[in-house]
Amino acid sequence: MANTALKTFSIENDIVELSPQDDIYKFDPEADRKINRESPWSKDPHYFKSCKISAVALIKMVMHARSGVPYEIMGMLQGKVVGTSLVILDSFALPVQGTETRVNAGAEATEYMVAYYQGSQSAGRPENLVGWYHSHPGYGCWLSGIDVSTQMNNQKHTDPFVAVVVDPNRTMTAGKVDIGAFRTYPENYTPANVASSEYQSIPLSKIEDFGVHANQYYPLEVEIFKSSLETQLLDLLWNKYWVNTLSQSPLVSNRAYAVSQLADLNQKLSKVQSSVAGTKASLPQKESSKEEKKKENELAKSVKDSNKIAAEAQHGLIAQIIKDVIFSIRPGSGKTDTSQIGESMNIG
Amino acid sequence: MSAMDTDHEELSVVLSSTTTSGLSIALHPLPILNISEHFIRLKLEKQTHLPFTLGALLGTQNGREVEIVNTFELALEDDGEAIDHSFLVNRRDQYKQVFPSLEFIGWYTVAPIPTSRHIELHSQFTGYCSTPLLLILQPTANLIGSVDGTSQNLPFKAYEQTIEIKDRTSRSVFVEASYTVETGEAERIAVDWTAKGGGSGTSLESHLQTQRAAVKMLHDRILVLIQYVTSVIAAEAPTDHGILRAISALLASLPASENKTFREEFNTESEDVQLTALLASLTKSTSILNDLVDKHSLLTTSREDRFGAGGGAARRTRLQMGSARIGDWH
Repeated sequence: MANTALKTFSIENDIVELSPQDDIYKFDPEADRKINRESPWSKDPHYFKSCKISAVALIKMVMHARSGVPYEIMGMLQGKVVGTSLVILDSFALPVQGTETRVNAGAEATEYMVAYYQGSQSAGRPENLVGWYHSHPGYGCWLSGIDVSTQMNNQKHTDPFVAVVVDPNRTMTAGKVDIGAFRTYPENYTPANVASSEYQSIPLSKIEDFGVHANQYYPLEVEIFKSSLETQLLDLLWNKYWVNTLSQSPLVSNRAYAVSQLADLNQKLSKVQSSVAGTKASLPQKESSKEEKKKENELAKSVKDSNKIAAEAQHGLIAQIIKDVIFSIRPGSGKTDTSQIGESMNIG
Repeated sequence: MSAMDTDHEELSVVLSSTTTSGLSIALHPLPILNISEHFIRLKLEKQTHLPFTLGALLGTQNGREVEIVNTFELALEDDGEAIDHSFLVNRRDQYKQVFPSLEFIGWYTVAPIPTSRHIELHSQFTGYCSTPLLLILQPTANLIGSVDGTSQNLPFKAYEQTIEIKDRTSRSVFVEASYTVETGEAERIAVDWTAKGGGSGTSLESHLQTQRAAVKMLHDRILVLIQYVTSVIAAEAPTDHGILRAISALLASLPASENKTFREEFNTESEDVQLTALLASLTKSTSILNDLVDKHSLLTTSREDRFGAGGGAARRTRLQMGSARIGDWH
């Protein structure tokens, strides 16, 4: 009762009802200029620790990446700096299509970018360009050699700038968005301690490119934020699209990608075949060397990859079996095929 | 009957709800979130409760089927009445370059109900699209509706323009159109992930959680149906034969997958998946075996180094012991 009264009161009296979580959307030109003048990131290569992405920017990036498969696509990010975090408020796509090895903005794309940015100013989006994003369809979120040099260039001339990578294929199979945000170190700077990153399975064709440049950049922690209104809308949206959740099957939609992953694993294993004879066990190390990540032999890495593929396939199958149980039971028969469920649950 | 508001100031521009448009509209989540974000930003910037928000809708239109996929903001000219047409054309062409399949299909704004001002604005869009749509976000309905918790509808309404003939004069009015929410798979995953705050957690756990949430919704809806039917039997609720027919058709279509080809396909698919799991565990066992062999050879060679040449016979015994140990594994 009191709740309704409060709400009617606030509407009638034109009280701007915003929760504190919406403050992040406010554009403050004064604070913006101030932090750009100080530019603390130019003194500390490790200045930025996290990257906050708005829900809208994220969804636009994923949709754009998905529409471009199998090509790499790229676009620009608008936002601002808040403390040690780069806040991304919006993204827009560039009409550039990458080939397998290069995604570079040519003259046409630069024109588009400038025109779009100027247009944004008049349409009420005054934030600066603070980054770029591109997609790696099917081969994970990391920076290739060309990406690293592009980003180093960007950071030299248009800092603050962040590089975001999104993988639409992995997103579809894993059921959650595969995204990463990176900052490169300036040239001639080697980080004090090489933090070991989480293992990612990378296709054979790209693995060299990944390894060579892996120490020239570091990942930022990615957080997603949304406004209070968006939270409400998302709750309401769920009421409508839960049907899609049940009806869509990841096994069917990802067939091509799963097949390519298996083919790649096959290649890796045949490569392993030659080298496995020469593997040596390592003696247990003393405590002092626990900083260094133990170099795993190739076979162990392939094991991780194969486990990942199998686990994802099992997820898809679980969904299918659940649906089968729900929709195929004859009312009144009472006989359910629970043995099938039991089998599929015995995952390694 | 159209709303008979006979005082001359404000005739309602919306036809009453008994007439609905024949369009079937599919609305994606992205436009919904875009519009709400635009609204929030303007609210913050102008510090008013209901800032005038204006933007364009992009999508595809096939006859009577319309799909709204994306949006972008629009600017007004300085007088506040005319739209900035050059900006619209520029933006629209820019989006065309990146998404060639999307077209301009309408515009959106934020207001409780459409008014004559919207009719005027609407007429400015007809140059770009033969039948533009109007999509409205109703902020006040959202705020109040969430109190009692029963409002499960999105606070959006879609309208189509039509001509109403009354007293031998015609005027343009809006007629409401119903819409459904559609998503592509990638969009659904992205929306779902942001709804949960973008965290991670083991993927099996999150996958099962989404499935469970969806199944729970299905269960809740079925409970509602059951409740309705029991109350009809107990003569507490009015019997609507249309609904009862629909329910019985639904039941008759179960079990949904008795079809033989479906069964075969389904079994093949599950066999493929289990095969993948088998291969994965085989790979794992080979790796473990490899490690074992490595460690074993490490042990045996180091012992040889220690005991030197005199260990010819000793070497053989140790190898035998080693292999006997492996033999114990069977």
